[in-house]
Amino acid sequence: MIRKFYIWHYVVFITSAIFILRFQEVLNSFTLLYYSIVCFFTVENFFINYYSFSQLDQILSPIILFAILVLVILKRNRWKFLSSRICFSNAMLIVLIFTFLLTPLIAPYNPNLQFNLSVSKLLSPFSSKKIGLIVDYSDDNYTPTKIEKYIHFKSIFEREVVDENYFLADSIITSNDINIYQRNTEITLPNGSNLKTQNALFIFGTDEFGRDIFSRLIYATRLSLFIGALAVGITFILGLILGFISGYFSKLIDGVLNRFTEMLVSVPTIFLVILFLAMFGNSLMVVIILLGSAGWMSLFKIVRGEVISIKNKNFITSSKLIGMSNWKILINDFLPLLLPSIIVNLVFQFANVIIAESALSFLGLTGNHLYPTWGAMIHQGQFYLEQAWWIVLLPSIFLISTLIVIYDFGRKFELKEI
Amino acid sequence: MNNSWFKFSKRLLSYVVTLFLLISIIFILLRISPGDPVQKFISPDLHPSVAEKMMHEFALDQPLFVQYGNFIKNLLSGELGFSYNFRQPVSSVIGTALPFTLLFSLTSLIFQLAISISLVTYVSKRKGNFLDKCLEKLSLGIYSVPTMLIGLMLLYIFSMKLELFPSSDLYSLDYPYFSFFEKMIDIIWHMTLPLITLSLPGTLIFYHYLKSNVDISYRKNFILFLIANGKSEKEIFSKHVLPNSLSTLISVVGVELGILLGGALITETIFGLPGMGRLTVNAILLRDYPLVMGAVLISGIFVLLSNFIADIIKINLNKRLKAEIL
Repeated sequence: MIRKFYIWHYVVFITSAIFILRFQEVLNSFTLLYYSIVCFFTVENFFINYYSFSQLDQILSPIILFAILVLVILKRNRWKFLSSRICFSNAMLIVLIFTFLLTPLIAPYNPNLQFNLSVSKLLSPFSSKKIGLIVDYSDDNYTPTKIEKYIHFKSIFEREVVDENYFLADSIITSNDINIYQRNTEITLPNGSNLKTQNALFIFGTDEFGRDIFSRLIYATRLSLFIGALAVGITFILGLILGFISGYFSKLIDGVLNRFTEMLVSVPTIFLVILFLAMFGNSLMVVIILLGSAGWMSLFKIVRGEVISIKNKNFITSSKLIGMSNWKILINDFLPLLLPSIIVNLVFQFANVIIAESALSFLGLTGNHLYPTWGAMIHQGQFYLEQAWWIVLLPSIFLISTLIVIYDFGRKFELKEI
Repeated sequence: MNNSWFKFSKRLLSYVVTLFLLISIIFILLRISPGDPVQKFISPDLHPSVAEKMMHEFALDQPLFVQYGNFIKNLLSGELGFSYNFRQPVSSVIGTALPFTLLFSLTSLIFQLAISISLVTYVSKRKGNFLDKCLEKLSLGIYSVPTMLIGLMLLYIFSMKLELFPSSDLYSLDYPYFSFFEKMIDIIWHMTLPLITLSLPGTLIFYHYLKSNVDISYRKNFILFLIANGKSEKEIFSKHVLPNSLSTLISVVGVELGILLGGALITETIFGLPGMGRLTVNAILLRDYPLVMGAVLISGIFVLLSNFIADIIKINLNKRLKAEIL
């Protein structure tokens, strides 16, 4: 019996749960890995013609799963973080990291896959349906080539957004040649094909286009965190360099930059971001760059203040006299001293970016990316609030708990508990 | 005294320069941005000469510095130009949205301040109270709930399920036929949910700031001295603790007020209210250049002004800050 529930217990529990629940997918992705390696050596122009990034993602995720499991078990005593007690923010952080890294493994369907609308529109959470899958099986004697097998396994993961051979039904009754499904609709199967049925459970329900909300939520988590992380990176670079320039060099530059910052602060940032979005279009990269460059003002002030207070110290003067370049002085001398306050600022900035992104998507201003974000899901669900509360509820729960985690860690960094 | 007036006026002048620079930069950004404002108002099927005529009417075919001169002229005349979309002077377009925003944000701010200060007054007498612990957890929890989710949740519960409050708009349909008293009731009824949405996070944030400051103030030595002198607890709190802990709150309120007066975009969008936020965003999306400039100018003025007022109040509360702030 485990006396205390540590973080590494939790991680092991989650990894094994994913492994057991998604055993078929893990197996399939290893098969895909095998065939892609075989095809790479045997088929001409394999990478150019058949390979895509999403398969790399698919293949890597079970490997990452096992790597995490092994690392955590081996290093549980070495890494302090792993053998500390579990609490809500730690648990949620680990869930977020897992959804970020293992997205294709955790999500059961393609987030954009639309089932037939007559059955799947606005299903409530925990509704279970039958999936019918029409499979060709030609002669038994025919053995498919390697590349055909590869394509077959690839198609398991990459379901088309609309696939006629893949349908959802309340119940499927099979008798000899004729298959009946969904209120006496009959389909006759084409020659040499078979009907497979499997159960489908929509834990979080479906939206108005019949897309599985759980899968969408998992992919949205990845995209939202990705946008947040990249934007914070841009903020870090801008704030650090501008703050250093302003504090370290002449007073003229300092005055100009200060006035510029004051000017930016005097307009609510969201209007400036919307203005730029309207000007440069709303592709993903533009959104990230805008959100990143909207929040550097507070970091600028912190870096500038600290640079001014440090720059006349002896060790900076000696580095200058040795002949180190300004860039090297920034990286080697200033950055280690500035890092604690920068990290606190950036953690809170991460929360701000996520809030700003979801607000912009909620207003419908960030356009349609390939995958949804939390804000886009909430935006889409607000029109169906009366009939389908679950579309809004689940992304909001994820959004709120992510923010709680971020604020909690920010506070811990501020108090230097970590 | 003379010296401080000089400093005040210098500071105001720097505000004016900042605003002017801001407006100029936004002017240049709007003109160099891709997208033709004329295309939003005429159908592409029409003859190109119509578009050219319209460009001439909007004075968009003239060189940039002539346009800039026109813009400055409009700015100084107080009319701020002519809105492309509304076909009215920008000042009168903003005049339709501004009263609502002023009413909405100021009421919300008064609510936030009143509730948070009275809560702190109530709680500070009873430390370790159940309410104290509840509010401490809640103020941290609500901080991480974005405004739109609060709005949607209130909308779902009170407007869709319980059907107590209307879900959008400021007036009922038969508003013009009401008597004055009924009009007031109607507006209050429509404003309840938006006001809660707007005020709830702010209230708890103010509560959090004020509570921690009050706790710090209580630990100071002069409070101990006052207690030893036998002053009543009420007097100590209202005369010594509260004024000493207000200064952080006031600067937070200054920033918050500026943002609120620029328009509570999300709340306005959820509840379909006619405020500055939605006006600005619609102007941006329609490329109504003069209206964008006007709205940015107004919100910039409000932000700087509210910061300025907050500073003045802070100086009046604590004279020692004078040298530091000015």
